Amino acid sequence: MILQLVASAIAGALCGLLGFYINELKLTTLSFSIAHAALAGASMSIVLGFDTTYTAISLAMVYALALGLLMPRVGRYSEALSMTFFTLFNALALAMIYLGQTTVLATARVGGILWGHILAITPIKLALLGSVTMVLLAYIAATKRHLDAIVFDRRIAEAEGVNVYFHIVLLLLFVGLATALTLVITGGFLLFTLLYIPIVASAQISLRAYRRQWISSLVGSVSSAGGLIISYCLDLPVGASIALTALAIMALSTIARLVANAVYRRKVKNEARRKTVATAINPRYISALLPF
Amino acid sequence: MSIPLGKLVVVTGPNGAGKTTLIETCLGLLKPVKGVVKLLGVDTRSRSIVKIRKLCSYVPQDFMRPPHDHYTAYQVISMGLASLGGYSHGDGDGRIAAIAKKLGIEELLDKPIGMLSGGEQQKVFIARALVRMPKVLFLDEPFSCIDSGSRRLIAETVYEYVERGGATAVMVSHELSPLRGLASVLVKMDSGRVVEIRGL
Repeated sequence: MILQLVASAIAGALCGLLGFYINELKLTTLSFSIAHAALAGASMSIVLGFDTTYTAISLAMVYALALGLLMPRVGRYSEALSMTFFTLFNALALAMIYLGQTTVLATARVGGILWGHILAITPIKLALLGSVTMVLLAYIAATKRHLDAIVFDRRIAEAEGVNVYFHIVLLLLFVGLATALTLVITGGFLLFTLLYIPIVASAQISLRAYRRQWISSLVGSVSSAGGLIISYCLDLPVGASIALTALAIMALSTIARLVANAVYRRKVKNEARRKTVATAINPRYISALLPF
Repeated sequence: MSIPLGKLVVVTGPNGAGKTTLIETCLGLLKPVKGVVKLLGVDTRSRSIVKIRKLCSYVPQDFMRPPHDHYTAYQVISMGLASLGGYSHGDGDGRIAAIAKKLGIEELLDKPIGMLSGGEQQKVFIARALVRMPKVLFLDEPFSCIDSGSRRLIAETVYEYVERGGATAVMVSHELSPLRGLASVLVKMDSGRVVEIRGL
């Protein structure tokens, strides 16, 4: 259980951190299709008889690289192109699942791919997950100024000689790796839960980009580990538990933001009222109004 | 058309003349439909243009940031040093402080960019462009939000930089009065064509 808990916490942190860049760089659609490439890869493993995670990583990485290289050539059609591939990967996943459901054992494997199977996490895969997270952190630390410049304004960064496409391709590759490694935890249906929900929750907590980045990572980690515990206690599918936990955190952060905004508005209103009263009873103000 | 180093070039012309397109084509952000555009001797369609851009700065026309943008003015200016590398924090701090003082924005450095007025934001972007000490400086309508008092200051700062650093500044502007006596080349454009060049 400790192994699974650590793995889900790391996966959540990794996806939460990547989610920040996906959102800021408007790569949501592209990462959505990469997540489905991972799902198609995992489904292909049933028919081909390979390891689920490694097949998912292979397809997701190849697709992420191809997409990244095609982006400058297709320009504004990159989102439409990625959705075309999304359709292809969905069709592939469904076809493979249909073809693969021949034995009871295969049916259990299909279930794991679709709604998550935390026991599929092995020490080797945990080490892989940890390594990917460490590499991502090292990359962010080494290129922080470049990434900040791209997040702030992609066009100015490009004009100043920052290799924007290199960083985008690299981030898409990280998305491919992260989604493929997370697939066994959340399942294919809810694969993007940890990529998108934590960043929405973090935006309710802070407006500062630097803080949002780490809050998103923390929310992802807490959602993932918390969801796993809930799944274990209530005997629910792990992917669904993680998604519901993440959504609960997002709802709580939204309520907290609404309350904080209301308190702030009331404070500003009271201060303005106090100032009006103070001005009205100020003898100098009154004397200024008198004609003598 | 060829622009030598050490000149302050002003590009002017009516709306839709192609002034911004000219700047973005020079930087390689847009590809020329025909002909060749070279920036510091390098074809803008080649891959090495990314390295050449490190020697350039660009202040775009549409620079306004939304109110929720919480990067401080200091962070925005220091982002300009991102692609240069090899600058320690100390060096960068000194350069940022000097240019901020010159443009009169030193008190704005800790404020979020989204909370600044249009003119203040424009000065921050000009500071970001200058802090890079570029060989070629592209400024697209740098006076659009600036008050009349500060326009001459900005024009003189750019002129001083060009004179001292042997760099070239290409400035798109409808406002020619702040540049009186400073611009060495005037380029007039209309309907995507250069119709007049004075001073080359």
